[in-house]
Amino acid sequence: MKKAILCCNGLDKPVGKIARKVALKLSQLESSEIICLVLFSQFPNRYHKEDYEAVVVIDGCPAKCATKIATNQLGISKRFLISELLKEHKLQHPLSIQSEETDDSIVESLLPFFEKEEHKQERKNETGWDAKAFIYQILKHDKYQFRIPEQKDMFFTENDTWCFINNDIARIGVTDYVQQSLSDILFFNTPEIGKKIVQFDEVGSIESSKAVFEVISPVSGTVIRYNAELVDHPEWINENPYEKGWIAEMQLTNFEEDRMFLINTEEYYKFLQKKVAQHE
Amino acid sequence: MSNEKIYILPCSGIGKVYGLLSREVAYKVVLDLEPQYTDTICLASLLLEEIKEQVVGKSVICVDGCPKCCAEKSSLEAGMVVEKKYLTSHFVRKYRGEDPGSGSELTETGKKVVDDIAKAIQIEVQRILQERGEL
Repeated sequence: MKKAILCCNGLDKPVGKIARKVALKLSQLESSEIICLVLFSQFPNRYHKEDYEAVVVIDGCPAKCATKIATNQLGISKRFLISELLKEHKLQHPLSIQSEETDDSIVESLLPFFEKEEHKQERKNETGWDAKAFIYQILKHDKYQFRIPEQKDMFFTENDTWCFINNDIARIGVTDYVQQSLSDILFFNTPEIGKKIVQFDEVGSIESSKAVFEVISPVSGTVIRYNAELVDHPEWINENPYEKGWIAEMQLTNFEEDRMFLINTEEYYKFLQKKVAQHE
Repeated sequence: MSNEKIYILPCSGIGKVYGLLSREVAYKVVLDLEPQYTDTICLASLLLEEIKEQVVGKSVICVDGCPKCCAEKSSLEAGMVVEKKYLTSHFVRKYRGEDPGSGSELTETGKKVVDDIAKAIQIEVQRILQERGEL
């Protein structure tokens, strides 16, 4: 398990900026995970105490926003207050929020005080997943959590795409594993309406700054619709690839045959479990 | 005329380049482009009750780094008036195939994205000021 660092937002006060820079530096040195304070506050279910060996909080100023926000929701192993540390160790205070070079030397002089600390561990009970329309199984691996819908008539491929069958129409999309692997999706390249697709052919693609992912169709059929909203909002795939982030709808031609090459929720769960374990 | 400064509120912006872009945009507008008419406030402090009283009803332009839109949500929860919202990833799309940087450092492309968003915000600030009769 990793250590998590939760730090001050560090925007409008020089000591806050130092707190943020120290947190970033520590996360690089120790391979620990930075928890975005505001994201945590807005979506507390995204983070679970039991996933971390320790949670370190770094505040910039005596307002101690990070501590106040984290105390009741996320166990704190150790707290640091930059303004106090600077005073205690007689270090130079940052002059303004624009003093980049001074900031860097202050950060360097502060780091040894953090590296010497040993952290205690605190844990609390698990919180639930924030499910919406579908009910999800959650596959946990390291710091990742992959949603897999537990839905009748929903099937998956080993190419990490899914289809949801409604009579002779299939809605298709990519799985949570894909969106997390790609990170922030920036483009949705639409499939051609009316195009006849054979199972496992490409049906559009999505693109992040990391890679392009060709969406492999789980079924054979004709493309009758695509999610036009994704052209302007490709980030919806990141938000929920099964609901508002669906890719296209297909008029099915031979689902009975397609079905032989598809797997259900339980099978995809096991498949993904093996896949992510192999990537370690 | 209110003569109140317009808040430019970026997301917390830690760990990801899109968040860092939002922070740098806020600095660019508040410190360089429109220091007379804009200000920023620490988003984390907005989550605390004691700060909310100071910002209720104030105009804010939100710059979010990811679709979770924490800056916008937090502003609304604090009772601020969201005049306009921006998502940095939308602006990155103009530079398709180029790397904007990392969570700790922007590339030249990242800096161009910052300039683009900051200019868009500057236009928006001028519009608000004109509506208020302050320009």
